[in-house]
Amino acid sequence: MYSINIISFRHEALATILPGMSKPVTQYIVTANFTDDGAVAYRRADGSWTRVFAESGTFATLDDAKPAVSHADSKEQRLVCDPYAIDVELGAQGLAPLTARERIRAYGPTIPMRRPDSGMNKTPA
Amino acid sequence: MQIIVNRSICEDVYAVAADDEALPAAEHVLVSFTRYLAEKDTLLASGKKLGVRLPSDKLPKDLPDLGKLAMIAVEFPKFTDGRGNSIGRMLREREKFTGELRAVGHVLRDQLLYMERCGFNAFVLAPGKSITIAIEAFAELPVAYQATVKDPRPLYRRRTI
Amino acid sequence: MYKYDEYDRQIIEGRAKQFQGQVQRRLSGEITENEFKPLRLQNGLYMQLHAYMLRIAVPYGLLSSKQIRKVAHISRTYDRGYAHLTTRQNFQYNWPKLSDVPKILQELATVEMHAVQTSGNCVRNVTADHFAGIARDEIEDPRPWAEIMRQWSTFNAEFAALPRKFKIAITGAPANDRAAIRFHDIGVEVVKNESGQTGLRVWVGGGLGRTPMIAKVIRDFVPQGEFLGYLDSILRVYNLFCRRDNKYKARIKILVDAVGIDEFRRLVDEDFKASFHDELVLPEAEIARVKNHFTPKPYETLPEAENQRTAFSLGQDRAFGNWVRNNTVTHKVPGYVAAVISVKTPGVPPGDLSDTQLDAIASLADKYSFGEAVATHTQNLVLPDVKISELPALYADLARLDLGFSNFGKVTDLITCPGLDYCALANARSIPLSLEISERFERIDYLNDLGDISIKISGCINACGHHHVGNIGILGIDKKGVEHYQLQLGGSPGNDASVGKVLGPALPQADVVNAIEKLLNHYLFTRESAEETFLEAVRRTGLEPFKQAVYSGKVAAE
Repeated sequence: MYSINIISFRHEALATILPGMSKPVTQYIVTANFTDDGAVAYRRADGSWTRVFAESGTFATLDDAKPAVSHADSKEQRLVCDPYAIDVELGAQGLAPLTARERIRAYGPTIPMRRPDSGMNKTPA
Repeated sequence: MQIIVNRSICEDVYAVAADDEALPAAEHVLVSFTRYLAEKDTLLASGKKLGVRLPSDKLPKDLPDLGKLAMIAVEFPKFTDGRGNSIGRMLREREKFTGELRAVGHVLRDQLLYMERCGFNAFVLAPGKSITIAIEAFAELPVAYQATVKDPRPLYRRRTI
Repeated sequence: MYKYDEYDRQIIEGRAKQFQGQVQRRLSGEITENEFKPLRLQNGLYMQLHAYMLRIAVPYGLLSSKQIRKVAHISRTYDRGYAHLTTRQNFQYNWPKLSDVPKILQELATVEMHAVQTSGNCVRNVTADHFAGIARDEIEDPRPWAEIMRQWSTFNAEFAALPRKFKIAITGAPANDRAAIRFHDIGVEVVKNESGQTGLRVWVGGGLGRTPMIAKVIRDFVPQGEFLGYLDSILRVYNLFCRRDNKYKARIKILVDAVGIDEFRRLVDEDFKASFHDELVLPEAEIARVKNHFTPKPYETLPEAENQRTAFSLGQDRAFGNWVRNNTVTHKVPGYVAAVISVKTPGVPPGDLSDTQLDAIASLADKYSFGEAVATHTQNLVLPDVKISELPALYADLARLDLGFSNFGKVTDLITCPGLDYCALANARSIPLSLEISERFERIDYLNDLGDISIKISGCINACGHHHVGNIGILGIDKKGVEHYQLQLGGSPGNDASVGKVLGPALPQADVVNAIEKLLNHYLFTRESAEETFLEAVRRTGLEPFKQAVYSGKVAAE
């Protein structure tokens, strides 16, 4: 029986607050798509790029993130496309996306991508 | 400056005359659309080979006496703005313009073949673009389905059935 | 179906090579992403949320078994083992790598397929009635005209950089349009005049998206020879005069609406007069050459077998009976039917087919339907020429593939865009909702009782799920980061074209399927007879009673 995820993503992000911990803080990260396979890319603090959301390097403000975005846009096109900065939450459990869209970018589609009987057992990357 | 004319790289022989300056000594002179409208008769009587820039929101019918021009430079403000393609085709086919039909503005390699099929035979590439790489574009799609200015028969008339 | 000749092959192979060069120049940095984007779009390659998406063209939906096998092979070799049917009769892959795309295009070229102009500001895939060539109500097969338009529009130099995308659809059965021509930039009907000559009736300015509009007739009868020249003039007027400053106001419907159909017609006629010359006349010989590719199949001479078909539908095997009743369509040749393969299996995203299923469908096409299948714009597949006597065997084969669901035209035969799970433009997810709907309304007796009804889901206002023309349309919106859904009622894409009207305030995802159930139950309650369809009931009573059914006694989501 197929069941669907009806969680509102914003609420789930806020659920990372544990009692006694300080409130989550807004941070900014830079994201893009890898030019070669279109996979979601996140910029690490050292300027390299990763597919893993949790490894994103953070900036305190949007303005702080802008130079990294311009650099990626003008100098790193062979590696990444369409870079932009987004706000995320830094809570007790680490970074969390703030919108449904960025959550899906970080963790993948919310639906089965393949029929179970298709006879080909390749798992998604 | 190097440009492409009739599929070869050559020097641009046209000297640009700003709206308010006297015509340069060169044989070939390019003026703006506004100046042409204001001073058409004088310009045509000057003995120069005259070229006029045509903005992409103008139509051939907005360009009087175009048959007397040696060159028309149709502007492509963005390479995604394809109005010039229709304008070029209209200039060649309806107005029977036989002078140099030049594409200027944001002209990139990957539009050259289409522009040529619309009647353009000269191209000034956007700044920073390699002209030697660009010139390879013409050979890429050997056959066209549609009528082109060079061969106004659509493919169905060229097929040997 | 149309077979490429040497010219066609050269053109498509040249194109695959051209794109390979463009990809190389992108990867080497010679051209920027901004410069590359229109080039890759003209080859159907999008950048989506977490991968590229490649859309391959299936001209007027027609596929050979060889092509279906190639689609399967590509999905297996370069993608994640499945392909997706779109709402314009094409296929999409969701996970190709950029460096693989030239290879994919070359492989497609070997089976006379391509991805040309399935995106970008150019003329897109020409779609047609999915029962073209076999429907009893057809005046003339529209597919040769669709093919003629395909060749006219492919790499058309003058119209390579239009203000926006351009979509054309054609039907050969004007009395019962299944191709939604009234909602296309240009819609075409094959018609006959009083002297019995065939010509084309041309509509312009229809569309969905942010500003849904129904097309208007620009010319009642275009003689065959003038047809392409006339299309040239429509496109030229559009290319020259439509605004380009705002991409949401750059479709031809905006221009037609702004100047009015009479003025628009005048502009087109003026251009046509100035530009049409002898060389542009479409010759009889060419029309005949293309029509020759669509000659009738070698049908057996069979007696009329409708009795047998009825017997099947009423027989002991209820599952088979329901399938014959719902999923087979009367054919103009006695003894044959068209069989609809519903690609709407509960639990599977609508329109998705695995490589195994695709390979199997190719074999079914060979075994039962002269090696051809047709993709519909409602994300199903049709086997157009099946002998009624072979229906039991075909059904058994389909059931084994989990493709034997009897819901063609029923409430779970919904269409949906990929939505926020895939698409960079979306505001909300659409597929999870479609899965919830198909699960809730799975019972076949309920489906049959409800009769013909269309649900269409779009994840954003771009309306790729055609929600404006669903009997029930659902639009996903973003309310402060939380997905909500707005319901519309009363849309229809056919001859009785209408744009659905918004029912009430948007609902959170948890409430949507319950709301739909209320709508359907209210319909059952209010209908005058079992013959009155959902759409007819909505038109008769208006929206208010349906709105009450959903919203009364419940606090609105606002």
